[in-house]
Amino acid sequence: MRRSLAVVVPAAAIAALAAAGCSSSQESVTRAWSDKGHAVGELKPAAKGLPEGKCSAGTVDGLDVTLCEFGDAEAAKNAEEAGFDLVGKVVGSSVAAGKLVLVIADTKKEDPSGRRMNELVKLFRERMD
Amino acid sequence: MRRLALSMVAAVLLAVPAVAAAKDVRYAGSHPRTGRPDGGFCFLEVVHVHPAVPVNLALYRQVNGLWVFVGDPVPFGWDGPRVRYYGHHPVAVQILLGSRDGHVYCYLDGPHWHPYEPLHRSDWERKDDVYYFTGAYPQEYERDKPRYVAPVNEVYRPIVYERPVVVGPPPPAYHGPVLDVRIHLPAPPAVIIGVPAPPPVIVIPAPPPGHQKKFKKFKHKKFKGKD
Repeated sequence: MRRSLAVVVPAAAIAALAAAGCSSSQESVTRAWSDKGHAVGELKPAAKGLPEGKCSAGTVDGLDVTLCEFGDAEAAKNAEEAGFDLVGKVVGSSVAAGKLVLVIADTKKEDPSGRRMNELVKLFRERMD
Repeated sequence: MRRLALSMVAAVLLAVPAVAAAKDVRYAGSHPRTGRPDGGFCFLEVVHVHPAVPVNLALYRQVNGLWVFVGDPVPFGWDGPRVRYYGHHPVAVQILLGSRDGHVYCYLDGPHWHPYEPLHRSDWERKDDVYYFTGAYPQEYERDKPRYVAPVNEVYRPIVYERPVVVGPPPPAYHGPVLDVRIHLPAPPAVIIGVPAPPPVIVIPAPPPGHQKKFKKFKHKKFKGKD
């Protein structure tokens, strides 16, 4: 039962991503997180995204996550700076890898040591680089 | 009127830190979360933001607008790799940021830890698993030395934590500051200065009444009847 849930939850998240119009790159990242046991919530089209990016937002492990896809890696790198504005006045980061930018913010102070954020960023980079 | 002016000045002074705190503060690499050992450690390695500037500024350097921690992370909760160093040394920015932006300098006296190996091994000597910088200290090291040596070491002096054990003098090629290495050796077994034990007290129980009678029997005849 537990195992079937573990399969269903990531599958539901991926299906939701697809329904929200998420790209295969974004799906690939969320799958990498799910495969490592992170709790990936439903990512929906982002109300606040990055200019010229196709952005989805949701929560992973209780952290606010926004994934934005750009036309090419250079456009993603250029958008990385604007990602820090999305973080706001909390601990967080904006990281470009490949055509994607990941903006991650600990709004609810769920991860005071930053370990979870660090692992999510690492998995994101591994998947995209 | 004067009171009003004073209150306005106070309001302005109080507002300054608020404005300073409003701008996000960027860090590169992991670092202590607060200035206290019990404050925990931030393990986020990529460039990231916090709402506040570091507490112990002497333990950080600013590189391209980023705060970079160059102290010993162990007393603040670092539980990753530990590499042994002794004395002052450069840290390649390439290690910290991945960019070729020269060096920053660690001004920690004596044995300490970092989570990374030195980059340019030709300028280092490894003795008994401890790295000593044996290259030439450049002008920028000397320039910033008065600014950092005392504040950096004052942060660590009161903290009790496991420093690397160094059992011998530094190699001759090392020409940085040398501490008395003995202070980092394990403490010798405690010597207890004893107070001499009091002499034993022997308690002889009084003989039972019956025995006294028995002894009376052997009294000298001249003492007999004088009890």
